[in-house]
Amino acid sequence: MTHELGESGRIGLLVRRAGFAAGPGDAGRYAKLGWEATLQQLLHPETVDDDLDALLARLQGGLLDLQNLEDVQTWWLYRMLHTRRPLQEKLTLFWHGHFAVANYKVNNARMMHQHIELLRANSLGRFDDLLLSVSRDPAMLVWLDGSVNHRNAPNENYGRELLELYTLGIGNYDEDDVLSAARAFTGWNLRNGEFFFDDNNHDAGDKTFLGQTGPFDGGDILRIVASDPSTAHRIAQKLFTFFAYPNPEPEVLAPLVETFSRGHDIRALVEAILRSDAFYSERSQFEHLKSPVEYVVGSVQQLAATIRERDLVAVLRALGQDILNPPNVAGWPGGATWINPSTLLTRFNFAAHLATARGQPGDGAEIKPADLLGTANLSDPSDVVDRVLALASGLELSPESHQALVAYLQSPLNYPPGFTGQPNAQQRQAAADARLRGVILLALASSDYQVG
Amino acid sequence: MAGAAAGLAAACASAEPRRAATSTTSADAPPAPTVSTLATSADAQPAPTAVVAAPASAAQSASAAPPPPANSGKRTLVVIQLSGGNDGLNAVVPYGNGLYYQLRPQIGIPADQVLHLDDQIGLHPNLKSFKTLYDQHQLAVIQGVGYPNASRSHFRSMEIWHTAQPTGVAPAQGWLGAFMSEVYKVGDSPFQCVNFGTSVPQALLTEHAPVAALQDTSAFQFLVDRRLPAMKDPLVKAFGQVTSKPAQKTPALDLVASNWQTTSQSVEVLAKIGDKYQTKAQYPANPFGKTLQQVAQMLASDVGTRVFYVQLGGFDTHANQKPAQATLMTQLADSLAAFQADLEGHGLAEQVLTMSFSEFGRRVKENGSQGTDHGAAGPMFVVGKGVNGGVYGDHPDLNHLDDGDLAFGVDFRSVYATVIEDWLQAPAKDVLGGSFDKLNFLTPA
Repeated sequence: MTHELGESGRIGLLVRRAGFAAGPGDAGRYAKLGWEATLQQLLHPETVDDDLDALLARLQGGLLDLQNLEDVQTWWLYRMLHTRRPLQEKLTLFWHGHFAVANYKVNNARMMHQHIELLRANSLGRFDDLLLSVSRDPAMLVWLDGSVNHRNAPNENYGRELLELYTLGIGNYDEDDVLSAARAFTGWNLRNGEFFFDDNNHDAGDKTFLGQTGPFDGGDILRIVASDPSTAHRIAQKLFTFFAYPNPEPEVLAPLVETFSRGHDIRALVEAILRSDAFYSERSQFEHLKSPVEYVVGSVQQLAATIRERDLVAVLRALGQDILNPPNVAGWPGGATWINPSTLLTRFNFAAHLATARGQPGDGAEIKPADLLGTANLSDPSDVVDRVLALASGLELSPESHQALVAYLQSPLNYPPGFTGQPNAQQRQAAADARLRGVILLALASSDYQVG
Repeated sequence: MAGAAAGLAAACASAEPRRAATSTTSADAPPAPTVSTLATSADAQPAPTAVVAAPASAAQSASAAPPPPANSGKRTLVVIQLSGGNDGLNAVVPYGNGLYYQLRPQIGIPADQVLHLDDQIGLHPNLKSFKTLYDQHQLAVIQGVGYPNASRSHFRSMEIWHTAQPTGVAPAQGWLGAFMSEVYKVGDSPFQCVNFGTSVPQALLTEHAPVAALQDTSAFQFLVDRRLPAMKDPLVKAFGQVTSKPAQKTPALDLVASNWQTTSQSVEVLAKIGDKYQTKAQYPANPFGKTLQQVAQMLASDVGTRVFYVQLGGFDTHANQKPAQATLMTQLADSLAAFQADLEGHGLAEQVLTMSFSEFGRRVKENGSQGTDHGAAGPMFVVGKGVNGGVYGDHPDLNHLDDGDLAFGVDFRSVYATVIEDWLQAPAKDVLGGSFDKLNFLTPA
């Protein structure tokens, strides 16, 4: 079996990775657009009308109180689920994992909201602008103690993580560089919850940083690190891994690093990734483990589920991706670390919740299997299984697994305990519906669906 | 548990808990019968105790491990990771040294608040429960633990502690993963190695044994019967197929499939243990205490676990350290004390050893925001009835700092080697990839 993707396979993969997933409606729209136009639309969100902001503005102050963290988390999940500019939202998630500011220390929902907005605004721009904005961002100034970085006794927290995690990577600087960076950022403080440069608290003396000496301030440090080759390498590698697969081959990485090095343009780098052969390769198809956000948001979209966005916050937490609360300064390590018995069990239970949601009291969600199946021939189990797999982003199972789903669909209909006699049409339909939902659950629980 | 009981009696009979000699290196040589003949106490070594021994001696070291007693399979290690870099200098405070107060004018712990262990050092005031365990000879404080050329990066340093490999490219397998690989046999309990939390730490990574991960033992079940009534058997059958046999063979899909298997087995075992367990202690009402209670529950239910891994985070105290660390010290000590009491109540205290570590200690000199930046060596705590209570290793010398950091005196791999060989009774050399002098903080088996 070869896995060279055709046009529709390429669009499917592109939309899943550069976004979350396409619901039954969107999938048709992207198919009509074709791969090139879909890519252009994703890369240029400014060309796509999206009334999301207006809609969310109406919810704010009413259904959403952005002073409250869970409301900010809900607000962001709402955006991920309903945006028409999915790449922008996906990249915002990437940058959130990269800078990894967490509310458990910032302890200010308003600042966290502002932080995410800042990431989104800069998500496809110049890396230098993103870095500068983040360095002055109130949430970051609290997160890494910039707000208490004083001239007479520098606090190294921001300087160190800037070099180790945001730009150069470990091994590309020494302890003196950390101290120089910390000194350069002294005075980048907070006043009344906003960025404020405190001249009196700034160390204007000479510093030696990565071999250069001068009276550097924070801006100089950012300029130097943004242009360092190790930063280009690190960002290209991280972004490729996020979109495609871990440990890319050097020949895959090299052109991406070169693209980023020319002007530090994030959009250009993302475009190079999404156009690369490696992005559509077998490795990419079968070595990308879905993150919890990809799993949850993707499955809700694919099943066109109606669900309370708020309920998904706790699901993501149990899956190991508590948005706005990454585990530590390095963010989520991702990849293989998403998968363990605890998170798989949670994936199963979420899938069961979704697959069996009938919109009844206590369900908190609803899917309509009959609508989803559309033109499928309900009397042909194999056709039904194919249709469910198509919904689940064209999931490809082994012939044995496919057969197991068909066999499950052919197992006798079950009726509630104590039921005797002939079922009427309604009872038969309810039992058949339950079986259909079982197939959907099995598709979402399959090992194959966790990848891709 | 005859051996351990005898060890305990011996520990209680000694007038003083074993103490590190602070001024001489030979006065406190270990008495003949302790541990293996090759075990060397940390205090008998002038400098870092870790040495990769010559092959001959290494082989001896491995074979010299005492034969496991009949019940050795039940000995369990609980590892507690203090994430973020615990400030060891304010946990084990050198209150007798004026330099400490000079370097920490704002965040130093006043001498009259320190829980004195001797006339030089003592515990953080919120480690009261630790002091009690210490007085009962159930706490070993190992001072100045670290490794050469300390990294001040959380991640690199954590990786080093997790893999026991301070140089070169870190191996994929963690040190506890390597231990599991040594002892795991197909068909063993899915709970041989249990992590609490949503992400499995590198220390546990292994290719040859399953790692269970739990958040809440009571909620570890497939929630589907209620919503798909009476569909159980056909569903379970199809589930087995779609989870175990993916269409492709890649490392990612293999990982998912093998973890599904552990998940199903775990659900099965936990369903059987039900509510056999009744707590015998009052745990503090915080997530860390609740997690330790679940560890006790699993121990009491005898699900065959050799290693538990639990984390307590929040130690990265760059600013306003005092209140933050104080809260964490209380959580750590009080939860562990409750855990010990619970084990005691279930007759399990002899077979469980708990060890804490952090990726690094913090800078000696406080910064300008009542906090401390990333540092190097720090203390480890080992708790249990198998512990030869006391203080091990010298307190790092404040007069001779290493680039502003405490110099280490005990290599962390010596602590690991001691635990692997003398507690878990596996060959440490195979697990750690080298031989390290052991310490004598455990009572002889």
